[in-house]
Order: sequence, then structure tokens, then C-alpha cells
Amino acid sequence: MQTNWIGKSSGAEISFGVKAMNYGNESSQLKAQGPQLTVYTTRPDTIFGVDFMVIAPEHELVETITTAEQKQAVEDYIAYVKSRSERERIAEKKISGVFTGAYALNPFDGREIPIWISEYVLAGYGTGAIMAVPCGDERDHKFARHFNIPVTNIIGGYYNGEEANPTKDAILENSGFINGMVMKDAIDVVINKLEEKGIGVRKVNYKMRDAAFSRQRYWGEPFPIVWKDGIAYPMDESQLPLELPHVDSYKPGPEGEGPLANIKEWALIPNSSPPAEKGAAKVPKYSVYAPVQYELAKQMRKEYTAAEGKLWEVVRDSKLGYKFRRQHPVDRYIADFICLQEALIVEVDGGYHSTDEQKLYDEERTKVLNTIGFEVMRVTNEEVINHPLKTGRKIKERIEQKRAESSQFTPLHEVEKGQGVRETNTMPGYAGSSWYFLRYMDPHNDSEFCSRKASDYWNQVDLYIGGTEHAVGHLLYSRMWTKVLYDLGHIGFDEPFKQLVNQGMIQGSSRFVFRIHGTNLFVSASLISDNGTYDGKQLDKLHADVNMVDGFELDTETFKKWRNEEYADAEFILEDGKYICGSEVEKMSKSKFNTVNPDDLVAKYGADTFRMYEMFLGPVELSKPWDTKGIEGVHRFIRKFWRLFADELKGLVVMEEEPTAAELKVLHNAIRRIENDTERFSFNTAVSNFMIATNELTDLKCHKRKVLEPLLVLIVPYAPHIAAELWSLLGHTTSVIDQPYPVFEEKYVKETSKAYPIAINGKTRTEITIALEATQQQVEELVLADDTVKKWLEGKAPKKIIYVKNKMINVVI
Amino acid sequence: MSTGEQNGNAANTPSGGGGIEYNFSQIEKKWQQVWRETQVYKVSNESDKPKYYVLDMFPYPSGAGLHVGHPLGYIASDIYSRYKKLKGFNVLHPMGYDAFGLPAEQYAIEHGIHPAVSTETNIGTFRKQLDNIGFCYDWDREVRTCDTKYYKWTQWIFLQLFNSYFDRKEQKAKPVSELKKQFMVHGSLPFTMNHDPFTAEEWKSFDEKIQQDILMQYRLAFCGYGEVNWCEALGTVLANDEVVNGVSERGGHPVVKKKLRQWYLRITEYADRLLEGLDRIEFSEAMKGNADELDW
Repeated sequence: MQTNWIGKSSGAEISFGVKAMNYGNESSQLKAQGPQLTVYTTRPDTIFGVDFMVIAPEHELVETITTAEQKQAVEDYIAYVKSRSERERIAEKKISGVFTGAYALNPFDGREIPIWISEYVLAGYGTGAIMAVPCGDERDHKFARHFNIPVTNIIGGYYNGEEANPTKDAILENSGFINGMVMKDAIDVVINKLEEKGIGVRKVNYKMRDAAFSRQRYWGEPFPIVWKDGIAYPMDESQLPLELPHVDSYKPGPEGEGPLANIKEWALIPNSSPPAEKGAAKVPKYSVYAPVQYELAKQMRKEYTAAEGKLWEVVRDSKLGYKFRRQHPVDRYIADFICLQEALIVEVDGGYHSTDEQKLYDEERTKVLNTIGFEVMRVTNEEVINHPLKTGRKIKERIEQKRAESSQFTPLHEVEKGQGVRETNTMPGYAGSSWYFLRYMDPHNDSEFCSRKASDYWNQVDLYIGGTEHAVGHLLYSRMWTKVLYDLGHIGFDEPFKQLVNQGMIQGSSRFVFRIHGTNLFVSASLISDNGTYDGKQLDKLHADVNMVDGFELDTETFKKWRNEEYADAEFILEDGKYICGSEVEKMSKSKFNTVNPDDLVAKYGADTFRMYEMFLGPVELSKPWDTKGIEGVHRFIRKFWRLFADELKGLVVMEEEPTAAELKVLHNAIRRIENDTERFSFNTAVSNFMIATNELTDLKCHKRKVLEPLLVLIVPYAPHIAAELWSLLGHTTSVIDQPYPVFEEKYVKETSKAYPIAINGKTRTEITIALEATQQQVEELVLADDTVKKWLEGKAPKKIIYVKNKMINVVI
Repeated sequence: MSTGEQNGNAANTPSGGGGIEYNFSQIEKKWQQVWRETQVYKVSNESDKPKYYVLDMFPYPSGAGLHVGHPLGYIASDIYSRYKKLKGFNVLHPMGYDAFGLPAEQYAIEHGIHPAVSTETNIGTFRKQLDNIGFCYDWDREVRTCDTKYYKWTQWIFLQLFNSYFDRKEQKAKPVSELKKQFMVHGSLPFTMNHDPFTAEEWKSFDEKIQQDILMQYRLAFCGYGEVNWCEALGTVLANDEVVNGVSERGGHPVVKKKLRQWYLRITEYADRLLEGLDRIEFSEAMKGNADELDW
């Protein structure tokens, strides 16, 4: 999948001249002046079969080369394409396109080739233009047919006139200087000629595109980037981390920006020079009319009116949450109260403000202040004196309203020159997972992402286990990041993962109930006829929660209570007193009611049983259906294993005697097989081998420590809890989980006998187990005593009995 | 219930005449506690033993928790890790959470619970479920991608990508400062990105914006403009399949193509190295090769 995704191909870029109207008919020129149309192709050998060109509607040449007659049609088509997504364009089966009126010139023979635009060619891939060869490419062929473009046959018999043939084996015809050559041999010849003439170049192309790395969302890593005057500046490493601010709303920002764009306090950075008050950037620009105003203002602050004094008590020291100044000069006026950051002026009016003259003056003053950028809010003396707090609240509400109204994030280009704005996109989900395998090596390091010492020691991941859904994205990104870190000298290896294993999926084993349509009557599955009806009536097939089903038998009482007693009135047509469900293997999902919760299983059977059962289901890499019944078998095995050590009645039953040869053979066979299986990842067969060993030892009534202890160590990876418990019951104070692995010894498993296939005249007829040390005479005795052999002999004596030790026995009659 | 004992005291209830029952619930809880308290799975970076690193793809802590399909891979890797430890290796077997991403944000929008809060809760559930199965993770090494102590370094690596370019001649990444030096001394490189070639003199005469625009065409993490579907009425960017015939699937509002500022990773420069590396690693053939296509 990775190779396919990268999609490397070799071919050539070829430049076609475009016959422009104002350059006249210069078909004798092989290298045209004027616009050039460049295409990328993996089949330069088909150059003489190019019957038309297709360029992307967004291609920069479209406007230049489209003729007057075609202009309208082209514009209409481009408008249509604008409304289409890339995916739609590529997937579209219907053929569409428009002729531009222009012609490209074949670089070798000057033939005029009509230039079309069509949506299936994308501007962003390759050169945004292709050369179409209808006899060799089916898509091109369909296009040519649709628009009645004549097809040039360069592949003789390989083209049947109905369908294109992408062959590379045909001998070229109608192909100028490469006539008579086999296509695949012509490729290099053409490329060389192109390079010689300067009209083309050998090129390698990739299907792969650069990876999109930003999201317009909130919950992701902020970019450590500040924009200033259209330039992206990286933050200094010492300023990291740039923390994600807390938000109350995740609304998208304006114009498609992410939610962080709504938080002006976070996104805007005050101009760094001169040092400014927080929020200084928002203050409207103004000047002061004359220096004398400062004196005037100072005086007025001292001689404030009662109302002004009252209001000052309410707004001073940022009591409202916003910084207010009093008697502040702005232009030729002095504002009673002003909040610079929020661009609000509050004027306190005594009675005299209601005279006409004063009103005019106030209007004029307000106009000027508005023009500068301040809003002017008026409150009366009475309001302030009688309801100072209420007035304060009114002022605060007005500010908050203003803020909400202007929650448009200042677009980058409108931000003041020199003003810093943080990047408001966040990183995509795969950022964190592209390097986490390195952080585990040194997770508490505050001065580096991972010390060189730690990464040199742990080096690559030896075994990486995960699902195939990560085949492309995550694996490619993490490999890329690893290579960059390696190139820059931060780690000593450039491939993160040495081996990858994909686990298969566990599919759900669904259960179904069948209801006679229009009734509350449910029919047991096996009573249903082959055509899916019962008694001629249609049936509704419904999912039933697998947790209500024991094997295939439905717990009808629980079913009736299910989903808020949706089926409380259900009645059942049973079979042998049971309701049997239908079943199917499907994807495990909540909507199919076939999910099984591990917590429930662990509670019911224990984690050790659960672990061994999941492995027992089948090979790790295969997908397999879940089967809740099977877990009971594994649970019985674990109990049987336990009873080798301890008994519910007798307690510990372990004995200290020396093991017999038979017992040692069982043990060492187990060691060999289980070690082998575990090493090879064949955990399901390992579980089988544990079962076999347990059965054999039980049959041998073996409770000997010297056999059981190694067995215990073998089972640690699979069932660690029971192993730990039994280990401690055996008197050990050490931990079982880091004991040395048992060592297999060949001598204990040497087979002493073999099941020989017995052949009569070369054809195997039966099997007899005979000791390996058996002599010819002993073998003959045993063979002749065998019933099957006797049958074949029919009373006669055999001519010969051939005995090859440990291999075969052949009776010749 | 007895605590922290490793020597011989069974957690089992003797039944009548001194029998020992297989009481799996008690046994398993007991040993999970012992292992936790004695930190048996903690692994050091200093060891004489040969190392072995076993890794699980870490989960996104969704609210749904584990279902039986998840532990399959975890159990397999747990078995192998424990096996290697018994074979005398120093085994690194860590676990963490891939916690940033859309689902938590969606949940927050729908239920009004901040993603950091819901994530914390979900991680708690996941952890309990994992502990229940008896995995030998070294939890001391746990990472969470949404943790500031973690993403400080994600951001740091981004800065490395931003401040580097790919030197095609040497086929490796190098600091952008070296590219600037090249430009100042030799002018533009033999291959140019999407800009006109320039001499060293011309480079020096360019103002900062022009210089930075040119450098952006080389940076391994770069900013460009990507085409998106913008729906004014809904106030969001829509994915391709949310747009039908030029209007939003939801509500039929007009959708226009917009160029939106997007960051990208210049992974195409590494195409050949990514291909070549496949020969040195053991992925299954299907993983590596020309099997089915997957969407980006």
C-alpha cells in the first residue's frame, strides 16, 4: 500500500508548442514560438498517436489560447467545474469537455492537435495537461468517440477499432522515426531525442502529494508561529509550549478560520515596540489639540462634580473589569470618563445639557469623537447619584455588547503593520502519533524530546502491532519524521519500526429473531422454511442482543424486558421448548447488538481465561468471528491446569518425587512446541499445546514440582495471574514474571516408537506403532498378527517383508 | 483481602478440609495490586541485558471504551513482551493515549463538556479496563498527546520541520540557514521551485517578504493555500462529500471554492527515501506493495 501510495513512475515531460493565431501558420517549425504546453507521460513511445490534448479548466493557458468562437462555451464549462469537488471530478463516469479552438503542434512532425478542456484533468497533479492517445488508452478512446475526434492507429492489429489497447508490445506504425520499433524499446529512443532537441526531459513523477497539516478546529496542538505583515515567524524554542487556551465555545472563526480566531486576547500580540499597555492595539488613534489641555484636565479632576465623583468610585481601579480614566484629553475635548481599550467615552450630563445650544455642541463633539473611533455614551447626574451601581452595570453591558458585535477577528491583512497574530489553525490528529514511539524512551525529559543516550539504547521498535487502517497515513508520517530527525542529527536511525504485525479484526457473531410480519409472534429459526417464510407468512428479521443468547438459545424473558420492554408482548413459537436464533457473522458494532464487553467476560471467567481465549480464536493476523461459547472450553482447561497444582478439597497436591520419562517427555514436548509457537507468533497453537500438555499430565496423574514449575513459567505470558499465584503457592518468594525460560532438552523427547504406515505391495493399507529398536523378526511378527494385513494376505504367506527402520514397512505378496 | 504478599499466602478461601479453590477474581485483583505496588513492570534505560522494544498503536480514548476487538493486538503484544522478558531481554512495552482530535471536540459541542475533561474521564475508564486484563505496560512512561509536557515537543519538532529544507543533491534535510547562505553566495539552486531563478545579487536586493516567500517553497513544513469548500450560511468548511451539486448536503446552502491558508508537510521530497526504506523493514507484503488504494 505504501508503494502504491507513493506511486513513483518514470516517463518524460514533453513540450508542445501551441499554434497561436497571431503567429500565423508555421507548421514547418518544429519548435514553436509562443505558448508552450507541457505534459507528463509514461508513454513517450505513443507520441505519434496523440490525437488531442486535454488540459485542466484551471490551467493558466486556457484564457490565452481560447479562441473568440469558443470563449462562451469555455467560460460556461469552467463555471460548472468550479462547483465540482476533486473527488466528484475524478469519479465521474460521464464524459464532458469543451474544445478551446486552439491547436498544439506535435514536436516531431508538427501535426496540429486540438486542445480540449475537461474536468477529469486536475490542475494540481502533474502539469495539469495530458496528451491523449485514443488507440492506447480507454479513457481517451471514449472521449474521442464521444466528441468525434478521429483516431490515429499506431499499433496496427493490436487496435480493433472498438477498444483501446494499452500494450507496449506492438510494432509501431504511422510513427515517423520510430516506425517499425517495438513500443517498449521506443520509449528511451524518444526520450533521448526529446532531450537532444531540447523539447522534453526524462522525468520521474509521483502520485503522492504533500500532506495537509492543519485543521480549522480547536482540540489540537497550536502552531508555534506568529504572523507579522504577511510573514510567518517561528517562535523561539525557549517559548514553548504554546498552550492551547481554554475556550467556552467551539464556534468556527470568521471566514473559515478555526475557533482560536475568536479569542482575540490569545491571537493578537501587542506591538513589541514601544512597550504597550495590554490591549493598546485596539485604541483608536487620536492626538491632543494643545498641551494646555493636560493642565485643564488635571484641574478638572480635582474639581469634580458630585455625580462625577460618584461615578468615579464605580469605575476606578478597573472595578468594572475595564480600565477607566477620568478627564482625559482627546483631540480638542476632554472626556469625562474614558476606557481607551474599549473605545468608549462616558459623559455625565447635568441639567444644562438639555438646552438647545448645549445639544448642538454635544452633537458636534460626539461626531468628532465618533470619527476618531470612540463611542460616546451619555448618563445623567440623576442616574449616577441615585443609582450608581446600576449605572456602572449599564456601562459594563454596553462594553460587552460592543465586544460581541465586533467579534469579527481582524483578518490578517487588516491587522496593523507590525502587529503579531498567532496562527489560529491547529495540528491534525496525526501530529502526536508521528513521534510518540520516541517519547516513550525518555518520557520525563524536560530539556529534550528524547535524549540521544535513550534513543541510542532503545533504537528502533522491534515489533509494532496495530491495525491495517494505519497502513498509509500514520506509517508514512512517522517514517518521514524519523528521517528528518535523523538527518538533523537528533537520533541515530532513520526507520522507526523494524517489524510490523497487523492483527485481524474480531467480527461479531450476530443473533437474529424472526417475527411474523404484522404480529408479535416470534418463530424459532429452525422452523422457518427454505424460502424464508413460516406457514407462508413473511417474516421480519431482527437483531437480538447477543448477550441475551446462550449459544443460539434466546433468553425469552430478558428479551421481553429489552429496550424498555419494546417486545413485552412477544410470544414465541418454540422448538423443543427453546427459541433458537438465526446467526450471521458481521462487523462488530453497537447497531447490530453483537458487541461483547471485555469487562463482563473478565468478571465471569477471569482475565487469564479471556486472554487465552482471544488467542485461541485463531492466528493473530486473521480476522475471525467471536464465539462466546468457546470461552467455556478455555475456562475448563484453566481449571484443569489449576488442579495439577491444587485441589478444592485436598489443597496443594504438588509432589517432590523425580519425574518419570513419560512425564519429562510431555514437559519437553510442551517446551519445544510452546516456545516455537510463541516465537513465531502462533499463539493459538500455543494455547492448544498447553491444553494437550495439561491433558497428558492429568492422564499421567503427574503433580510433580519438577514438571509443573517449568510449565508454570511457560504459561506466564499467557495467563500471568494464575502463574503468579501458583508460583507463590509452591513456596517461592521471587516473582515468576522474570524467571529464566525453561530450556528444551532433546534427549527427553526422543521418540521410542513410531507409527509405521504398513504397505501391501506398495500401497499403504494400515498403520502399526512399533518400538524403534524392534528387530526384523519382531516387526514381522507384529505385522503378520495385524487384522488388516491378514485380510490382504488371505491365508497366504508373504514373499517378503521389507522393513526400513523409522521409515516404512512393505509387505510383498 | 491480603495485600502485597509474595510468599505463599493464598488469597483463596480454603474450603472446609484445607482445599484451595481457583478463585480467579480474587487472585487476579491480588496480583494486579502486587505488580502495581512493587512496580515490577518498570523498565530502566540502563541495563546489561539486550534490549527489545514492543509497541502497540496507542488508542484514541473514546467514550465507548474497549470492546473485544481492541485487546486482540494488546494481548498478543503482551504475550510477546512477557516472553522476551523471560528470555532475558530488557523489554520496553509502553502505552499512552492519542488524545487530541475531532471526536472529543464533537462530544464537547454536543454535550457541553470541555474536551480536556471528557478525555480525562475516558482515559480513566480505558485504564481500568486495560488493568483488568493484566497487561505488563510500564505505566511510568505513559504519554498523552494533549499534555502540555508532551506537545511542547510536538511543537518543537514542527519548528525543526519549519526550519529545514530538503537538499536534493545530498538527499537529506538541512537547516534553512544553509539554504539562505547558498542563495546569498550562489543565487538560486539548479532546480527551482515555483519561482524564477535569481542571482546572489538579486537575492540580497529582495525585501524580507519576497525572501521569506521563496524560502517557504523549500521548508519541510510550509504554508500554502488549499482549496476548500466554504459555506457562508453554515459558517464552516465542508468536506468534499458534504457538498452535492455545489450546495451543502445539509440545508442546501450555497458553497463556494475558497483558498484557505493551510499548512503542509513536504513529504514528497522524501518519496525516494520512503520507498528505499521499505526494503530494510519487515512489513507484510500487502502493507508495502501495490495492493489496494486508500484515500488520503
